[in-house]
Amino acid sequence: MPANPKYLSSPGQRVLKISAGLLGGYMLSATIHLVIALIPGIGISLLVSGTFSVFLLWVVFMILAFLARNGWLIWGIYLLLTLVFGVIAYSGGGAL
Amino acid sequence: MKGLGTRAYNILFHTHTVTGIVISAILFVIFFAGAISLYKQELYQWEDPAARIPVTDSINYERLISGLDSMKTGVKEANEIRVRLPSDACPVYTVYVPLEDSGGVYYSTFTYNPVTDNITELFHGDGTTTGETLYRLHFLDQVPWYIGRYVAGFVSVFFAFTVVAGLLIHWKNIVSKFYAFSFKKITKQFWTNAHTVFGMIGLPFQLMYAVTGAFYLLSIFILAPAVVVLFKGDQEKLITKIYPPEAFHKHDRNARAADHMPIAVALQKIRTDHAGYNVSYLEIINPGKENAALGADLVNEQDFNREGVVVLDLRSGSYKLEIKPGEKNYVQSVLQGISKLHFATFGGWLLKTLYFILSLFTCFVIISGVLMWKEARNKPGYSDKQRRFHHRVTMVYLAVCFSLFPATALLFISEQLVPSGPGHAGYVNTLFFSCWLLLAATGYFLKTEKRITVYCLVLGGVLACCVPLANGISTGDWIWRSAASFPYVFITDLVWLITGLLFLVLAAVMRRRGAG
Repeated sequence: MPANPKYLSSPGQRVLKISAGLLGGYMLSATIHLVIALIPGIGISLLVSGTFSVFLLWVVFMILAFLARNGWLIWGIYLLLTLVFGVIAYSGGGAL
Repeated sequence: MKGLGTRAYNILFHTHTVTGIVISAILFVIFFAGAISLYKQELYQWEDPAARIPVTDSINYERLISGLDSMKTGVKEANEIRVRLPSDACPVYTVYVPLEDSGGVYYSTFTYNPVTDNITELFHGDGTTTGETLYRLHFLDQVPWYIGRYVAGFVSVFFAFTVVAGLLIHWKNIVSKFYAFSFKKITKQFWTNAHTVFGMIGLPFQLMYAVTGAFYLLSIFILAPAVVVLFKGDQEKLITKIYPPEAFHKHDRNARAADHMPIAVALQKIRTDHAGYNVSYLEIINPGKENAALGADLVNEQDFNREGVVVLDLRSGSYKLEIKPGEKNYVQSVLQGISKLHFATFGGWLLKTLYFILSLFTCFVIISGVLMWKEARNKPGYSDKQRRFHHRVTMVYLAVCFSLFPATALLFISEQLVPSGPGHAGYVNTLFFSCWLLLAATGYFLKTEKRITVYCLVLGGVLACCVPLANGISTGDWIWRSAASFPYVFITDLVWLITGLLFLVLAAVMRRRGAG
């Protein structure tokens, strides 16, 4: 049975959520992996595990983006977190 | 047991449906061609009659490199020549060489037959192509400028998404649907239950392929941020951590030419020093230069992921790097592990068979999903125009997917019947793709799902039975002769024959049911 349209988003919100899941989800998943790579000792192992876990986390963020009620809000959260993790990773890098 | 809330259920159901329907036809092609590609090595003797030879352990590599260089200039200058050593299944040497032209670096693949002393370039030129064509089709490599690879990569990511979303929406009903599944009554319920049951049985397998497939095609998205942000652009540093022999690959244009021990002698030394392990793969690094080295993978086929690797200095005869099997650390083992999982190279033929069956299960899940999508929309709430659209989409998908089977049989047949010689691969590929298009177009005009299915079963069945005939006519290795001398050829013929007969029986059953 097809889904009940009353629970689905308006076209504008839909574009926001799809782009948040695809682009924002990827950026967040990638930067999280960059940050955990800085953990002393096991960081590099976690980074290399990213060869599969980046995709799994990306999928989780796609699902969360679709479940969100407001596309702007989820984009904001993803961007902010990406920025925070990105800055931490960038300033901590080079030591590996 | 509580499932998702109503809102979450409807949202995920919708995204699962939309993503699924968008990727389904491509995903079917990927899994179908991939299932056969699992046997790329095992099929090689069938497709290339000249390769029906015993395994030769030792050749003159310097002569091979000169031979390659006379075929394609630039081989001698290449900083790494990779060689896959012959095996029982595929007794020719496969050589990968990075070559440079105005467009940058590209890889050429050659095979060297030690008995006939012939070098052929695969995929282009006069080499054989069946395995290679299907292998490349399974990541859409025939679509130019790498577009196909990226499309296939994103299809993989979306596949992972659909699998997870599907798991979430079916969570509550998985158990009840599992026991409700029955072959006795084929109704709409059959397709929905089959979709859930086979989807669940195949779930770990499918998720593994979604993730490893995405990695192979989109690895740049994983590695680039790490290189840029963490290693400040120093790509070498990350790659050597993951793959240690890379440290010795430096291409130094100023390196002087120098004599060194023959590569065959070095290989013999590696084999004697590591008795009990099999050398599967060689990397000839900077041959003929002062920094010449030989890298070798050490394998024990009984293990899942314990490959070792050595790099031998060809001038001094000492090891620059020596990691014994089982001594790689986690970071060095990850890529190897992904490759083992993806290519099913850790459990012999029985495991490959299991992979093959699970791949076909996945094809079935994809098709049942498309049929459910159409059936769920085949009711009064939808306008006639919408319903005709749903029907047309379903017909196109089924025509493209199902006609791939007869087209594949035709690919095998034309490999044997198109005369070998210059342009062979090109003719065979043209024939395969144009016949696939033609068969799909014909299928589309048959109007109903059932007629397409019967049409592809009959045509595929007849053509599949012709595959052993084509081999017999072309090479004289008829099925009763190859049974004793060429087991891999025999099994290929036999599997095609059994599949063909099975499909004809299935078609007959479907027709009779339709009449009754």
